[in-house]
Amino acid sequence: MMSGCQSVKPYQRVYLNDPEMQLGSSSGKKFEGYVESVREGATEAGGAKSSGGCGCN
Amino acid sequence: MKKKYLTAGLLSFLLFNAKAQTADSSYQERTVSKTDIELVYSHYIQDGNNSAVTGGKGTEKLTVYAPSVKIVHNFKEYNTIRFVGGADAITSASTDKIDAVMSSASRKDLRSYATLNYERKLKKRNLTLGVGSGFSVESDYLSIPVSVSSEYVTPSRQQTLSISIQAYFDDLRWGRINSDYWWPVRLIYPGELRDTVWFDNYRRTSYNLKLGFTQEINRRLVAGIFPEFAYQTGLLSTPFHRVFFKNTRQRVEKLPAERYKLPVSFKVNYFLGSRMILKFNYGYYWDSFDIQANTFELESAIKTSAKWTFTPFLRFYHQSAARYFQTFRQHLASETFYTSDYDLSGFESYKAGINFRYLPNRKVAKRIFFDEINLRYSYFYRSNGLNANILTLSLQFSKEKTKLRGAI
Repeated sequence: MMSGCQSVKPYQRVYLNDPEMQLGSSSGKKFEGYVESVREGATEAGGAKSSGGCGCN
Repeated sequence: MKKKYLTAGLLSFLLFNAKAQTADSSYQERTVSKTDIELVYSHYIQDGNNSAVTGGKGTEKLTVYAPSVKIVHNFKEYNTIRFVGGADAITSASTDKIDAVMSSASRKDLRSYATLNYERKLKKRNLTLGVGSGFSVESDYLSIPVSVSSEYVTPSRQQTLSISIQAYFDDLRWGRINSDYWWPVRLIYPGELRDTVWFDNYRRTSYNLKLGFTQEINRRLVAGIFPEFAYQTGLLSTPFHRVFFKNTRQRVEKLPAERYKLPVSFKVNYFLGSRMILKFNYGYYWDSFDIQANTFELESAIKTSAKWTFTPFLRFYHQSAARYFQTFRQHLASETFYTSDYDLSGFESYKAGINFRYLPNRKVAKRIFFDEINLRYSYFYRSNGLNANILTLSLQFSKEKTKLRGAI
């Protein structure tokens, strides 16, 4: 994977630095991730919740 | 006469020099601390007809009002403190059926939580280390999380490696936010099953190992892989979930005292043209209850102007049933473990929605800026009939403290 990657110069980072290009989640998406971890049997990797709250309502 | 010219010349030189000093490029404004504040309100409305409280048959109507606040304070260049706190007010039709007494007290619950994390970036090694803890408390639940984390960014800034270890210490006894006790008293069983002590353990402990590797593939493409391993031990059953058997016998849900989970997700973001970002996420999950799940998620952020971004999104999820799951009155009395919780059944779920993002970039007070507004709506549908509407509004502000400093 790494051998197929191009070197990115600091002045070429305009797209990569855009907030929408970040791999993290917004607060709204985190809340939905919390709901999904309760209403589905699986917990998503990198998700908001693995435990810490019963979610049993 | 000469003296007059000399004095005037000297004065104008001094004045010019004094002015030039402040405009000198060797002096610059530097940020010494920055605080980001995000105010969030989420509203969740759910309906369904497979409540585990009533054995897999019965209303799952639920409304959650969830305000929260997130504060991130960066100081002395290398330090970050992150606080997240909130309270979820829950109105649930199913928990009202734990016992025969229909009351507003059992119909309503409150979940309060707070976490505090400290991160420090080591100056020369591109390494960030972090520790964190907090609490989450409900009438029948207390959870104390503890975490340590580390992230390394390569000198080229094109790769990051992260590792995080979390532990959650949970206590499932009821009574903490009941005005008669204000203290954990006992596990709560369904009203008609309280003549038996179903569990002698009220603790649940979870350990999570989270890894992450991200790679910038070119100036428009970034990808990341996030494998995890989780181990849970203790009381994994919910003590007020009923199970009805074929022979009309009735018991409290019983699940194994250990569970291993292996989730992994793969994310790719691609900047297409000058206005659109495509985001793809695939997740795979397996656990020792025999649940296997696959998730596909696609988002496309469209920048219609410098201030507005619209992001429609779709999510598809499939899971196989846990080996301990059976529907209402389908369990055999000979089974060791049993549940009729439809969260552990086999199903597909679908989610669709849109996020509106606006960047006002407005100064609202001295050094305080109004940075961002997000409004997000999604509709969630599970193939066994459960459905939910989710709305989130978030407002982001920032406060910067700057200082004039000479160049080094």
